[in-house]
Amino acid sequence: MDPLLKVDHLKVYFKILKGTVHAVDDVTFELNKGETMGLVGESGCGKTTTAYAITRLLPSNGRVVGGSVLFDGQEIVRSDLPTEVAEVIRKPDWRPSLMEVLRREEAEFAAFQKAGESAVLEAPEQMEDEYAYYTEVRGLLDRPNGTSEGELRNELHEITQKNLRGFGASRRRRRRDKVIEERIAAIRWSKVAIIFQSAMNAFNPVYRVGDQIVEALLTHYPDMTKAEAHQRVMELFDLVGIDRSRIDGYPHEFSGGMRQRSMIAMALSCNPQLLIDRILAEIRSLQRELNVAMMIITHDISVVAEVGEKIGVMYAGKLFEYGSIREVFEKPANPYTIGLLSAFPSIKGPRRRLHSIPGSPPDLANPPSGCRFHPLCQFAQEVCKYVEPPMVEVAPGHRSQCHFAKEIYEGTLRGG
Amino acid sequence: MYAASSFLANRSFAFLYAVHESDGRPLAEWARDFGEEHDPDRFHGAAPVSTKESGLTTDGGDLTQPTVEGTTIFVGSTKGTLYAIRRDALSNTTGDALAHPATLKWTYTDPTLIGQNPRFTGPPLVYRESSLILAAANGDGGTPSDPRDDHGVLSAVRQDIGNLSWKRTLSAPLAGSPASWTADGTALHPAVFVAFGGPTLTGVASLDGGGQYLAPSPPSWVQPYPSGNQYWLGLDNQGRDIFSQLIWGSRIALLVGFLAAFFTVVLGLVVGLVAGYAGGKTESVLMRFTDVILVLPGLPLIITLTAVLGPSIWNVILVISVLGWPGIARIIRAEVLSLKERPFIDSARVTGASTNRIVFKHIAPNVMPLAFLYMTFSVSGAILTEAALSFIGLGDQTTMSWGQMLFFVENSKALSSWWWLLPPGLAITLISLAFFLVGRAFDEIVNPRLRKR
Repeated sequence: MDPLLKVDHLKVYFKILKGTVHAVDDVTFELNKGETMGLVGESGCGKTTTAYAITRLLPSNGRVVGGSVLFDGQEIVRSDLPTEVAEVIRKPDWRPSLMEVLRREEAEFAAFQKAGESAVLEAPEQMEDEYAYYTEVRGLLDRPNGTSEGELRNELHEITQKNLRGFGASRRRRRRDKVIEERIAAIRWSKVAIIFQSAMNAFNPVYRVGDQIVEALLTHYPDMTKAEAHQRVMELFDLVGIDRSRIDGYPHEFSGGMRQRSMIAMALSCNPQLLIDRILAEIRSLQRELNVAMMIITHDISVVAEVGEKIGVMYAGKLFEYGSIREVFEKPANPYTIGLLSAFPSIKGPRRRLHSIPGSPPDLANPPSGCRFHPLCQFAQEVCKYVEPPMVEVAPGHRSQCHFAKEIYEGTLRGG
Repeated sequence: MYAASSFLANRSFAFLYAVHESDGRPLAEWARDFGEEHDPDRFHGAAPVSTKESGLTTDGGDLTQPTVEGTTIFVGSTKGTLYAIRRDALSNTTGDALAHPATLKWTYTDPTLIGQNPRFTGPPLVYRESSLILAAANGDGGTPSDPRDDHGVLSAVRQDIGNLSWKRTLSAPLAGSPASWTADGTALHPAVFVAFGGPTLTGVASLDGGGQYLAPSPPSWVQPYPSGNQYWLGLDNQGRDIFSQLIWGSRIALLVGFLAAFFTVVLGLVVGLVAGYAGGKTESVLMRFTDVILVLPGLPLIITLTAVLGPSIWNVILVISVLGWPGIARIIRAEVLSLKERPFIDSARVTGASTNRIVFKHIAPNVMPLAFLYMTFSVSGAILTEAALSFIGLGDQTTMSWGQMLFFVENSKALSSWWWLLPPGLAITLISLAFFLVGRAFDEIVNPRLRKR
């Protein structure tokens, strides 16, 4: 069975004055129908950015520069090829990554050819444009006589910049964004709903709570009458345990918990298949009832332990470890996960000293070389400083990004 | 020309005469034959108001001068009846006469004056703007012998059916006919004036079309009496009532203040909303344009523009609005920048609201308090600017404003006459202060940090 949500090598970078913030770097995970996954990590490690990228709500300076997100077989997030290439050829050993990017792009084109427009959100013109660029790059790489690596890179840079910044590029991009925005609007909320961390303030203070949910309903179901929408809101209020009479209340008349629950009601209003949640609250029981897949974003690993089926541990924009809750909690394969686990008390086990991870997450505009966790890692070796660790599958469905993942998983490595 | 009335000695007839204005010949259509009983020469060209065919018996009083409006002649009697009389013959399509000239349309008597010797005093005034007839009547208050309880009634009667629209009772008998005056004929309600006088009280009452009191006289009326305690603030050097000017000036102050502030805020609001939410190039262009307007030297430019456009209240309002919005646009933009990062905007966007909807339905209501706040501040600013313009002689010379009054003071080299200088000066100060204080109170609501603990 195809997974409901497939995040594939997702990269999100932010442009700021100081340079580029590598907020999400090569994040890959899957989520099946009805499944719950917890995405944990400290603040500023890219959890929220991942969620925003999935729903295409990134602020204007944030761009998806690599990878893709498939929802129910449809590619709802993808980076355009020139952007991806521009990013890849910046690195010293660019050739293998470029080939990897091109390979993935080929797969995308194939899917697009097969399923037609429904496979991606993009307009066909965009795909054609990208295909033209792709053949150009291919032709350059397949050139028989040996151009030097440096020259090749310069030429690649040239055609990429021409595509990105050349005549009409910004107009093309605007048109593209408009098409995507129109198409994502049909999916967002009706299929993928998101509950914001600040659910307390997620209602406009000048309108009644009920009316705001009605508005969301009417936007997605234009055929619905106002009375029907009103009725639906009443049912949703019953579902989340708010008295029906409060439907005419303003947000400031609601308690914090009620506001959160109304937000849940609003998120559930269009029967989404996936719920991205940042507050948790009373939602877990409802989730079972409604069979909606859920992505819980939290820094509290114990919360995930309680409710989740899968867990993703993020650090500094990287997905450090990913697997089923049971696996990850019992046999963690990443030093960061171990640190995170030992920072929370256990209810059942013996009492022990809690350890905190010293220091704070790195500046993502200028991340450490090699493994991003190496300055704080108790197992760090020389190799960690220079070489970026690979993603290691320690057991089926259990992946960890660490040079010593296997050793840690098997418990053969002792910290120094 | 339809002219004066007369009566027979036995008071059972009332006559209206219609004669040509040029040579006094009687109008043939009006002339009647009164048979042997009356001398035809004597009533030559007259039509009896009270006959069987006109369907009316007079009350026996003398008729006042008639007033002609359209096809109707209005005339009052000194016994308290107001008549509306047909001017022309009325005939159907086949030419059969339905009604003669000088037959009755309607009558009106004031029920409260019955038994008080009611009498209409002069020709009624046709008040075209609201299709009313204004007529002054007096009553003796129930004691014919004592003139002290005599009083006057100004009645506004519907032109078409003769029903009372409003009336005002004055404590002294009225004299003559009411008069009306309007600043420029269209912009505002005309005012109505009626003179009254009795043993203890003399003056002119002024009302607007709704019958409300306004200033004692039109602002540019030269008063007939040099002084006296009926002029509260005295007269200016041309003999005009300063108190009346002050009251009339408040109209202009409020009109300019509110309208200019309204347009200023609307402009600033739209520019601020669009610039703040759109961002990017749109924002840059709009905000640089705002900056350009902002750094233009305000008063000199306003003076130049009014001088070029011509002195009219509307131009003053236009110029103040066009130059006043940049500050508000900047403030609104700043607020929008902060609002658009708020969670509820995100949730509106996720739930599928379009950009227009987010800007005008989700953000705009949240900046409204701020807009209203700056609107109150703009009111005082606009009033001050208008006063300044009028003071230097660029205001609308045909309307009386406080700045205009100051201009007259200055122009008459009378800056030391504090009794003339202070009323408009204080009025301007007080109204600006009032709006500023309202704004401050508003500010405390909008901006809770300013609230006292």
